[in-house]
Amino acid sequence: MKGVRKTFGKKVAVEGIDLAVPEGELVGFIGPNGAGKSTTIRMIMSILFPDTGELSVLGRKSAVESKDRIGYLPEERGVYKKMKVGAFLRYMGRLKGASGAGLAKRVDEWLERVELGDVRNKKCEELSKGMQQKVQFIGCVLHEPDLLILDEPFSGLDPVNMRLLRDLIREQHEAGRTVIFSTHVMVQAEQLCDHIVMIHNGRKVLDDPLGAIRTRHEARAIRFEGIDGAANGRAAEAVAAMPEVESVTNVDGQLEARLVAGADPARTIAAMTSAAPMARVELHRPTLEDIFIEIVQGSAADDDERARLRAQLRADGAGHSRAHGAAGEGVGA
Amino acid sequence: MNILKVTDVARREFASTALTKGFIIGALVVPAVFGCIMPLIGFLVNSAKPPAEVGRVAIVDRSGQVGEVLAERLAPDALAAAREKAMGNLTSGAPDGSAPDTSDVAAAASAMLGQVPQLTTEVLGPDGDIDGAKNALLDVHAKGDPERMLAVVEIDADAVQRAPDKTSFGGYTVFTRPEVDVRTSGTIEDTTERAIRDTRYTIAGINADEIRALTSVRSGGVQEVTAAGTRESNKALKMIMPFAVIMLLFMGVMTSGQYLLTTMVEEKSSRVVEVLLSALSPMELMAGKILGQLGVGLTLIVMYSGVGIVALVYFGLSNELKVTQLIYMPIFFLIAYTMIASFMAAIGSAVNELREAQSLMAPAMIVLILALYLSFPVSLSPNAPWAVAMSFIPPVSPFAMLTRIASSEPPPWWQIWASIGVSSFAAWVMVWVAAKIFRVGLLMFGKPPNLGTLIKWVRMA
Repeated sequence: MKGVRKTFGKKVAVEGIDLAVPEGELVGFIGPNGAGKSTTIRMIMSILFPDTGELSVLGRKSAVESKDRIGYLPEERGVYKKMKVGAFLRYMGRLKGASGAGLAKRVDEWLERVELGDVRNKKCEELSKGMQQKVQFIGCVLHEPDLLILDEPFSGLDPVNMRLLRDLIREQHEAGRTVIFSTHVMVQAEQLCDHIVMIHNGRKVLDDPLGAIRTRHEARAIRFEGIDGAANGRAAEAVAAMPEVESVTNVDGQLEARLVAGADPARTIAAMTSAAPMARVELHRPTLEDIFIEIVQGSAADDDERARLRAQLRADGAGHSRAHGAAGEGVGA
Repeated sequence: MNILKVTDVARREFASTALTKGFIIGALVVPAVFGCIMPLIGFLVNSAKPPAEVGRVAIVDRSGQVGEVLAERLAPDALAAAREKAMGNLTSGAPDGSAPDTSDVAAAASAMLGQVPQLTTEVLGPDGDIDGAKNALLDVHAKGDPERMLAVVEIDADAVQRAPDKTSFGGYTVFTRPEVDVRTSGTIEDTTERAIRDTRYTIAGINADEIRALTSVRSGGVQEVTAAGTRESNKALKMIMPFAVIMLLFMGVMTSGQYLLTTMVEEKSSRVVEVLLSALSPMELMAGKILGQLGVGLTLIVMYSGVGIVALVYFGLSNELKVTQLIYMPIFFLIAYTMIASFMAAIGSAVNELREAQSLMAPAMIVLILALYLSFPVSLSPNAPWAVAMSFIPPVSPFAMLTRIASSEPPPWWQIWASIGVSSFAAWVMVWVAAKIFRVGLLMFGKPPNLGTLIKWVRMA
């Protein structure tokens, strides 16, 4: 993608995105709801078209020319409620260019793999949401595509099925397929991706391999949990005045001391543990969520603003299913 | 455009509409059952022969001049003879001096199907006890008992001779038991009326048979002379034919158009549409859906027109069928359907639920209903300037032209093909516009659009 921009009326959904996904890579698009992930993915799929900018997919000018080589699981996914599961998957397979007797066999094999062998002749409407999601996943891998694009693939799944889907995505990746998936739950991206693309307010704010991101964002926070609240207080007093400590805050009942760049954490840890009895102490590695907040808000952001943004990200996760279909006028981003 | 994918979409669209219980029952089974039931009802009605009513009829003749005549005519032999005569008139088609009025036809029909009532009559005279006779209708008698009073006929005193101070004649009243068969009471009524009429003629010194002969005019009907020979013209069918053809067109277009809208809205509201768009271009999806529903419409038209053709052949009216109708009907259906279907597809893609589609559908509905209503005046004046003009103005043109083709004065071939050309072009434009709305509308959720928004989308796409 080069300089891709998309607007809906006055709303700018995607602004000047440049992006290249190398073949065979597993890339995570992350960002809160409404960031522009789905719009970007829809443009990659040629379902929407950019106002300006260029993009090419699998070496072609648009995905229209290579739709049969792409497996796509949209965020707004659905099934034909009255169609039988087997018939629905065969239909989707045919639309994707797979055909012949092999198709029916492949449908059966996939259904067995995701433990849905017994629903082949059931109508789609009889399946639970999680089951439907597995059926939809089969629909996008059935034709053995070169590129898999999965928009929020884990939403609505229970932990067991989440793990199953994660394993299946990894398997597709190991088979040499390029996988792009989007999520607003950043932990999922951390568990799965080689490469992270962060999108915020329609702009790309990060585009790096996960390893490089971790290296760049060194561990600069010490989390201390005293045996009681008073212990946390004493530990806070002990380190608050130290020159290498930038700030001391309470995070989820723990004390978090953020260090200035280049500081040695050993001195601070020693000060904390000698000031008060501890239950736990750790050098906290920043999560993608922390990195996202840092990038979006900048290092100067105050603690309240960080807490607000963190709460918003988590609320997005909890309320994700609610967000479906609530895109208002224009396309859900 | 990938034709294989379009065919796949069309096949699924057809199967999901036409191979459902709802469609099979509503569109195919119900008419088929009606088709079977109608002859069955006719058969049952005809086979329900009137019971051989046995009993007495009292005639209270206030005029003192009709009673005996009526008594003679109500005798079983006289009734049978009258029915035979009426049947003779009916079957020969040529009246033998007597006008086959409706009572004769009714009598002929019942004579053919049932036994003549076995009535014994008693004439009570001008001072007869009407109350006593009517009370006898309440007596308990077994059915079939010859003593059972079935009816009392009261003839007015001035039934055959006008009272000096009046300009019109008196009449008669028939009183019956409630359970007397309507065909028997009808026979008594008709016979009484004829007896009074004939008595009036006699008193006036007129020969009743001569009157019938004078008032009866034999008609050979309207005969059409064609190269293949002379044949009888069926006026009613000629009037109905254009209307029937348009009704068929309307039904096919409307039904499949509605189905298209419904399935489109379903695909959108169930969010399956984005999955489809990952495999198909919007054009392929729209083309597939329109083709699939075209199959549904054609199924309906072929089935209904097939039944119509079989009925025409069965009743010996196949000469009313024109080969041109059979050729042009599918062509104009295809054009009219494409126009309406592309409109419906565009609306279906733009709205989130059927309720929202109602107001946007209004233009299509107005066109269809207008076309349906106009078919009647067009069929009466198929070559009037306004009718000719209408057959070139889309989207009414397919309806108007097909009506003209089915009328008694078909238009020249060049007009037909010019109309096909103009209408096809209009259909192509409508598909083009619909495709633009379709492309934008498919992924639009939220506030339902109005016509202004749709126009904006056409410019946007």
